[in-house]
Amino acid sequence: MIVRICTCILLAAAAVSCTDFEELNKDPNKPTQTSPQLLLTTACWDVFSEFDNFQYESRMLVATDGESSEQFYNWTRGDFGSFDNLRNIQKLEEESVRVSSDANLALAKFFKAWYFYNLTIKYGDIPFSEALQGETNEIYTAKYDTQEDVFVGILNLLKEADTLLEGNTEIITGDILNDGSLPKWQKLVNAFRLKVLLTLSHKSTIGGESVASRFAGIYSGKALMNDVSESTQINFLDQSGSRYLNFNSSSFGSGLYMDSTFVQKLIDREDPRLFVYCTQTPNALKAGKAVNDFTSYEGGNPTVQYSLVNAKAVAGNISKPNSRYYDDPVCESMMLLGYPEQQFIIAEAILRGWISGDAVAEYNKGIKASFSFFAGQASTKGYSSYLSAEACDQYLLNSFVDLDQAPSVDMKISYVITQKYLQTYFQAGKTPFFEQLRTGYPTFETAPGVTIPNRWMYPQTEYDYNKTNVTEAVTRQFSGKDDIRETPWYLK
Amino acid sequence: MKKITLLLLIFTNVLIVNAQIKLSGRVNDQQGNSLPGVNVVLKGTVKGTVTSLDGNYSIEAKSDDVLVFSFMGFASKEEPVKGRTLINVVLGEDVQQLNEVVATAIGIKQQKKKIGYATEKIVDDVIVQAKSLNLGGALTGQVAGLTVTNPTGIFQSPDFQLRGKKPLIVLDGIPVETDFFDIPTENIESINVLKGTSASALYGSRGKNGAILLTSKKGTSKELQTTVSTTLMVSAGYAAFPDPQHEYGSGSNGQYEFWDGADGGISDGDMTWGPKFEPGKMIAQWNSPIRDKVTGETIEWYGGVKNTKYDDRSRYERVPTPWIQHNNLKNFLSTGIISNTDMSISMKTDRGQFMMTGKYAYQKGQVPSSRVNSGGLNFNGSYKLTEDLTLEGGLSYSKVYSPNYPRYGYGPKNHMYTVLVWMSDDVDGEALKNHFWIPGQEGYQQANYNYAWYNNPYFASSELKQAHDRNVISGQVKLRWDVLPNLSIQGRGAVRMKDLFENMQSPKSYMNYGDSREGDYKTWNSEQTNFDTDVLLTYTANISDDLNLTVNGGASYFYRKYQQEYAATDGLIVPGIYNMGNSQGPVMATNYLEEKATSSVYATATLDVFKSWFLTLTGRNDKSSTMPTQNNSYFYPSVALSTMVSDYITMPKQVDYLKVYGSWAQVSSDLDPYQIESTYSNNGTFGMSPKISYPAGIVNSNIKPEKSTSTEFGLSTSFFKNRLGLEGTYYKVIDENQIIQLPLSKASGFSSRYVNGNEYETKGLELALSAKLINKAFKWNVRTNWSFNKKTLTKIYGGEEKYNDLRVGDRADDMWGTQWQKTDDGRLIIDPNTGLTIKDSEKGYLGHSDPNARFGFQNTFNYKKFTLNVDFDGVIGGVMSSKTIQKLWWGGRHPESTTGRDAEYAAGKAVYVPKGVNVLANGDIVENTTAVSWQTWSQNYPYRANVTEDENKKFANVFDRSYVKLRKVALTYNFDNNNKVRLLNGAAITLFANNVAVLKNIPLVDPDFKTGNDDDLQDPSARYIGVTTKFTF
Repeated sequence: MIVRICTCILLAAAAVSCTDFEELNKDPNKPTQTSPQLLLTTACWDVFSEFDNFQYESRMLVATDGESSEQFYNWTRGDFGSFDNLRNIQKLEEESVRVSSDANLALAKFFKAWYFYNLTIKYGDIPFSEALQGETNEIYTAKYDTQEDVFVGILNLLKEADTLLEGNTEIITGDILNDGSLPKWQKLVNAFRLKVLLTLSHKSTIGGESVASRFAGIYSGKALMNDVSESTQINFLDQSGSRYLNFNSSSFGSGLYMDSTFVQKLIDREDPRLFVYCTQTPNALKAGKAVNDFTSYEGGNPTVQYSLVNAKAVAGNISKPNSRYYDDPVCESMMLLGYPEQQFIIAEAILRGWISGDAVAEYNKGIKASFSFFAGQASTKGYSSYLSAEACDQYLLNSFVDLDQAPSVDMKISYVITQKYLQTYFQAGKTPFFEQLRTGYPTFETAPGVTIPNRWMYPQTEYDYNKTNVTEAVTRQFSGKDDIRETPWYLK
Repeated sequence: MKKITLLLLIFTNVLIVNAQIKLSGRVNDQQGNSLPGVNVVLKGTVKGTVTSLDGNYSIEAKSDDVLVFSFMGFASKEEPVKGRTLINVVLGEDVQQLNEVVATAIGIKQQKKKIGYATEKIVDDVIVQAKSLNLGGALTGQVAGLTVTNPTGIFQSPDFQLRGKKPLIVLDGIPVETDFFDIPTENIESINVLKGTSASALYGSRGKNGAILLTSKKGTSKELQTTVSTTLMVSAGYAAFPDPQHEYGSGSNGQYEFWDGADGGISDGDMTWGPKFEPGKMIAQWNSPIRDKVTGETIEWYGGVKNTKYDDRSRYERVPTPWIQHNNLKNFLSTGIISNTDMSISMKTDRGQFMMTGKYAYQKGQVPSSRVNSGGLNFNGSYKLTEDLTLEGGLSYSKVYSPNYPRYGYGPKNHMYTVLVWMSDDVDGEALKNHFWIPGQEGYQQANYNYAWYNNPYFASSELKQAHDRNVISGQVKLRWDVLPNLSIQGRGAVRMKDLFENMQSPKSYMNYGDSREGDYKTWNSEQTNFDTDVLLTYTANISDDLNLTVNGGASYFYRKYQQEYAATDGLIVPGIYNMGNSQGPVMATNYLEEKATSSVYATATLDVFKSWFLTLTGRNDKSSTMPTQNNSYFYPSVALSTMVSDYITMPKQVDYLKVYGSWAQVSSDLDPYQIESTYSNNGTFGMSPKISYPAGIVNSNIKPEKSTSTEFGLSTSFFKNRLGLEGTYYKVIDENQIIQLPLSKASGFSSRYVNGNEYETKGLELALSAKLINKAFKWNVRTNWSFNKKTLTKIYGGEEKYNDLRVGDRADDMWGTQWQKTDDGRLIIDPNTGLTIKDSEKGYLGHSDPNARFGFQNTFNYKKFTLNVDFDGVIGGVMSSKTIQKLWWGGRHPESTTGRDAEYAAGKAVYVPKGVNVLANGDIVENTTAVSWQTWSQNYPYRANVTEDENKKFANVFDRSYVKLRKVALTYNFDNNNKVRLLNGAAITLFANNVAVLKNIPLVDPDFKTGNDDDLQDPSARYIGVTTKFTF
């Protein structure tokens, strides 16, 4: 009997015995706090994810197995995917403040400015001052700031970043782009400030200040990149999680061809970067033509029904992107904002009279830097002889390249923008498209009756979950018409 | 094993004492008609006989034996032999089966008439005839309100939904997490389905959606009884087969030429929009020989030439070979085989009983080199330690092992992705099967027709191996002490341990979109322990003849632990060596641990008044470790009332009985572990630098448990002496305080946040009707069940206008999707520049995904010793979209995609003018006249947006879900069980066919495989035929 009772009691005890439930629900697998360095690596990697597109809208590639809405300029809504990256930037900022790291805080501000800049030129007004406060301040429906206020905010963030980095000797880790070199970051921040200000070339003032004089102030008073080695770029590694973004991408194997717009511009200038960018056509290969034979490259017309482009491809007459873009795990480095782009920004500012200087010299430095960048990439070894300093000097004499041969300031600007365009293949996301919107260069052909859109429609999720604010923004900017051909403030 | 069985048999036979009396008699019904086919069995044994056509029987028995006479539709009768040699019997018709005892929550058994909520027992035949590796599928269509879907691939498990929610599976009173591959079918005696929440208030939040209760077999025979049964089944054709077009091959715009399989030739990277199969047509293909243009030499070759000396188009070319059609999908799939052998040994004595079962099952899949084995041993028994102390225990071991099984879903790892959608008929499957590697690159580069997207499907199914090795051990001990005749206490402990090793071996050059192509080895080692323990006290009080009280009170504790270790290589150094030490890059490894516990107390009280009113009250309190401390304890009550109306109101004589019941219950549910605190996740490394990220959902440290309240009413009745039975239930469930991830504007930095909100109302009706249509020597019984339910969104968190696509009042299963722009009067708008349709920026309504009704219809025919089962089931209404059909259009494999090609290729330009309108800049609407390439049209209109059947029947990709399936036909012959053959007590042979045929609306695919949309590219729905033989000794 005693045994029986004991058994029952034991079982009963087991049944009600309480482990510490709160302790049991603490996740043993993951941390709730982190040091900023781990988030910095994430930030440095993620920022290139927006460069991972096929640049149909920039007339570099065409699709032949389906209608690309970017190619035909009939896209509708964009998405706010950048905010997923911004969430980690926000945490980088919070963790930097927690451990009092000014350097990391400065980088968080830079990345914020970077993403908000790309968002605002894509849409117009965007949530800015109330954005990213879902967790900290329970702001779930952030109001939209006017585009001018957003630009002011971006420039302020960058100014703060510059101030935090000035003379900063902190040692940071997890920096996979600049290996902890704060001076390099500071140069990037200032080059980006120039880029943001040049984007406002349609405007004379920003936040009540002259755009040109703000530009001039930074140009003359702040450290900038001195050569291509100071570009902030990612150098891919042949290791899981570190490989080139398009490595092993199947998309290259079908329906992806070169756009005639881009190919023709390179051919017209006898630009040897063409060989690095794309393949010879199948017919040229069958005929055994040399790699540097410009007649062995062709593109497809982006404005006609894609079945017609496909017919040209079937006939063996279109080039494809160079195979190194998908079969080389490290392929080529990607510049976030490289020295060449900085030089073209400066050259344009000189031509616009914002600053004084030698536009030709700055422009030529940009081109030479671009040649040396591609020549220095591991996957382009076979092409480096075409990209030598001599080849570049030769190239600079081409009448479509030589800035001195451009008849007018406007034409000179078109040369500068075209050079910017030619060096951004698989490098700068949608930058060349937005530059085209701003300057009209280079000319992008369209189908009859089609114009180039100025923006993307706001995401459906904003209408679903932030309706009041998005509707207000659309009303004040575009009289209530959220359309891709409405003009945002900065282009007016 | 067989030898042991035989030895046991001989041994027991020796023990039988031979003081036998030969006796005989006759069995009549109450009208004096003789009853043929009545079972006459010696009680406590399986020895017995059946009556002949004139109702006579004869049998050998001992003087102290008891004869049991039983016959379907009649009340059983027992007659002690007591030395008699003639026993005549009159059987009365059984008017109600409500005294039947069914298993309910936590192992408490109750008479069915006392239950105030809907339960339904699975017919025994269904369990006996379930002979595939998974018992689950056999339950399809059997129970009103229980939806079972049947995926078509090997080692895919059926999905269960009870009243639209996922039910708990309970084995012998203990909740189990199972996919049914590790449930020993041969050991299951009965299955009872407890619907709705009130049935499961006693399982706590785990049982909030109802439960499927499985009860193991027990020993019932005084003599040692052995059964052996074997089943063999093979696939025989298909109930549904996605047959693509067979007229055109690889390529685009009618052209094709292979060079590198990645668009380096003529459209050799993708698509089946190439040349037509015509006699005499010659085209360079992946298996065409190479010719050296300089020397004229030809070389036999399979696959591409990249990284070989032949990769020089100015010198080498592929020699065109005949362009012929191959029936690749049919050839790829071989005959599936399932074999299943099981046996049992059992015995019952005065003090105890035991049952031991074992099984071994094997399935060879239709996909090359796929296979699953499963087996197990189970023991359960009980023993009376003393008169008032009973010990029960069970121990079972199951193993599920597959050295290689296929993957589904839309992607390169699914063979159907290649063979059905993306491999054209020009590709010679036989050559792919015989040539896995490019000459000279064995182990490094597969031979294939494509190098952009697809794998050689034979290479992929044999060389990419996915293995699964599962061991499940569960044990249970129960001690019951009958303290007083009306007071008992029992304690119970159960442990279920699942140990699973999985791995994936990828050969070099295997392609899966952007994944490494350098070969890969991944392993997952996981272990799960579920521990359940409880005490239960039962007290019965017979207060008076008309008042009876039963009280149960108990407490339980549940603990679950799950661990997993994962490791993966980054490329392989030496091909074919699947070892972490053979990794090119650093090995990636992670581990994971998860724990959860719940402690509960509960009580039930059942009051019987006048033996015809039954009132049951239950209450339970759970405390869960996964909820915030301030909200982690929650109570839920239920009340149920049932009454036998026919006991106190005189019914017309056609009505046998009428039971009416109603119930009200509340349940709550908690979260998964670790959901109330935000934590960073590791996203791998860049070089040596780790990357981490913060979750997109905002947690809520004050989240409350979910609450569901259900009300149901039902009745159960039968007419005409049980010839016609009817059960009906109406229920309404209100789901409140749902723990939802409320979508947010991404500008907040987050995509969602956890809140308690939204309210859903589900209303449903379930009907089950059974009838004995013919009840003579030939019998025809039918059973049919129908269920209707509808879940509506009744409140949105914060009074918002929309929750995802839904507004208040919408069905929760409403489907919205991108559609093409139409004019106000519904005409399709076409852009004259592109010749194509334009996507509407607002989503359109497509229909609701759940059917309006589901039904099952089972027939049993009986004649002499033959039994024939014919089972149908199906659904009416609802819509589903089909990715298979969309992709077939895109890729040019859709059977209808052949229609516009010849005309266009002959004209040399686009000639197809789609029906639609152009909207001019001034707003005028004119009829479309722009011709568009047929290929372009087919790749856009039926592919890039939703097209309903109403919009366009030919190009539709959203379909009405309705179907009727002939699920099963089974013919059984029962041999005499009167010991004519020495040792043998009985035998039965069953011939059957499963998944016989389906009548459906959606083309190509079988809508039965899933409740949602068709987007996993399923195998063709194979029909199986088989034979089962069973012997009882």
